[in-house]
Amino acid sequence: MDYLWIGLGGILGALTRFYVGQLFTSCFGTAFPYGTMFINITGSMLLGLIQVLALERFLFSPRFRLFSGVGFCGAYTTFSTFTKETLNLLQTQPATGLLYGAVSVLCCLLGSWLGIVAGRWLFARRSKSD
Amino acid sequence: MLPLLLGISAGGVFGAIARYQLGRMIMNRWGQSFPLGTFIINISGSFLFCFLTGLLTAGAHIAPWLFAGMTTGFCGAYTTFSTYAYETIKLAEDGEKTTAFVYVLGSVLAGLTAGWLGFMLSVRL
Repeated sequence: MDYLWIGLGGILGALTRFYVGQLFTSCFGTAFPYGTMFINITGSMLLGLIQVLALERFLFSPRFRLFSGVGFCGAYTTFSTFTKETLNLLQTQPATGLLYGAVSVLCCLLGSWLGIVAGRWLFARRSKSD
Repeated sequence: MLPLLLGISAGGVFGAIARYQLGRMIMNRWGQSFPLGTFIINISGSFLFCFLTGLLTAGAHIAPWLFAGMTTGFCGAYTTFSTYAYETIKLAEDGEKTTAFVYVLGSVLAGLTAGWLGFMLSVRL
């Protein structure tokens, strides 16, 4: 049954990434991968929030965490596209490639941390026996 | 457009499930202090993604739905940035600052190396 929820989240995550990517390409072109950067940062924030609500506040069932965290956020964000885009930029504009890599990693770490902190702050602690 | 969306969806299902299953297997066996599961997943996925795009660069004919399914669908969903960021923050929170630093930088450097190797391999095939 776990596979069903992860698979469903995976489809939604992959399709959302595709559409958001297309939207960014149509607005900002393909010179700089704004789309993947936006996707990875927002997905990292969302996963941080989901993990806190599920594992520390027990507001989500394990099944919903598999769907939204492992399935959706995992599939929405992507490391392989990030790698390929960084390599492409490093070959043509090394400084931009370095900037893309560094900003992506730092903003995603910040995003994940913000998601975690927001989750802890917004939802008062409950005991597991609630 | 529909074949493309179906390809990406199918790839997304398999990618997400493969990540979950492989990640669990690796963590059960070796993952005590280092998030080796996500590390191996992101590096192998980067290799595969760049290998596939290299094939296209080298002039291989791959149907668009199949290519999008394997790259945007499978590789995109198999690899993950959100778990990578979350694991790094958790390591830092737990006081494992050195491990967090090695993980965050090591993933990027190993991913770039693997991607470059994948691309080189496919162009030479």
